Amino acid sequence: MLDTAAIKTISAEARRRAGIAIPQAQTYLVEARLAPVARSEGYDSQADLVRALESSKDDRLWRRVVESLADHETWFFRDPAPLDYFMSDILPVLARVKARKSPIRILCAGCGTGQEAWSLAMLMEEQKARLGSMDIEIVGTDISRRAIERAQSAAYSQFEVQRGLSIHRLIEHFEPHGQQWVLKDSIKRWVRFERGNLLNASETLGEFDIIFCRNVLSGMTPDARRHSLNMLAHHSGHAGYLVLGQGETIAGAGELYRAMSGARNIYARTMETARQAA
Amino acid sequence: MKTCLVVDDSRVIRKVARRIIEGFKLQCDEAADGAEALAYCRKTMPDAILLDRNMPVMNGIDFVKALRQEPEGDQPVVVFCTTENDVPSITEALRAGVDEYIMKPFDTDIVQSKFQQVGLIGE
Repeated sequence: MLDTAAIKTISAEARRRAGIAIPQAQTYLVEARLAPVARSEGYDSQADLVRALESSKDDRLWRRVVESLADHETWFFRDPAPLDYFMSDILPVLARVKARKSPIRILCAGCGTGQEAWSLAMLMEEQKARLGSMDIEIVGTDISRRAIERAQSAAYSQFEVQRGLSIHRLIEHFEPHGQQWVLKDSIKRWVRFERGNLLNASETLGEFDIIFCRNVLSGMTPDARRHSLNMLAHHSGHAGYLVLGQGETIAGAGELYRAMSGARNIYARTMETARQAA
Repeated sequence: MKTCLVVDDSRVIRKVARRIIEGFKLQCDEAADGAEALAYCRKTMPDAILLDRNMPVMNGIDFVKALRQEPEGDQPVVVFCTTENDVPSITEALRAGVDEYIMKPFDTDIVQSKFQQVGLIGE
């Protein structure tokens, strides 16, 4: 069991490093998430782990602990309406605008174990005849090294592939491999993953035509949400789109994006602020 | 209210499935094998059938093939629920007329996801 002071220490560091908000009513999550970390790092208890964190200031260990507190739960084709809208309404516009002069770039920010990025890849593969020679790049980023490694493995359990995926998509895009199902190379070629923190703009990621950042900001403190939206706007370019999760808004950063009418949770970068940022 | 027929020779599985299905506000009826299920469907065609593969008297594959030959037999959504998780078994079931496929063990999230995909329940 962790005492109140230990939970406060862990929560404060999670807030500082990743903007993670842990409500008072959910502090039991700190214990639940730290237990496996303590075990695998060789500590007898979570309290011993916290003492080691406080005394040694081990950055690697702190990063591991903070990553364990981020919510990575996701599934294939979670809330599919925005994905469908992107394919039917936004992608054709991007294709016309870019006219094959440069690739269409899609970012899944806070991608967790990768299912959203892979879902987009499956949609691309299914519609490749319509897409023709359009160059499309999907990038997934997450603060958690372990989540990124899982995403890169493209391997999922029988439970994971039955949530959100139709049986038709499963047998079309996956191959059984022991107890797991692994995405085929025809899907893997569409996506790459790398570690990234929403609180820090990356110098190497570049700009994206559309950013999916769903069910991530709602787990952050208000300050971290505003800061992350600024970072996402930095990667949005002058005409990018932003897709948030159900119940999430750009409140507090309304000057960065405007809501698109008729498209739930989808925002477009405003020309005015994009010009100012240039 | 939509009706879902659960077809499985295990009373425990039928009980677990009933709890999940009634939680989705669907009416649930039961049958212990394919022959019993076919007799039920000939009287009242359900909206959906959650169906085991390996059963005595009439197995799941033979039941689906017979169902699809019945008047209005193309109406129910048929979801297989079975331990067979290999591609040939899945393909055989789809060719027989199954709409969706759940590999055991399953949980409420999986049944909900599959029922949403076939339009039986909302998002």
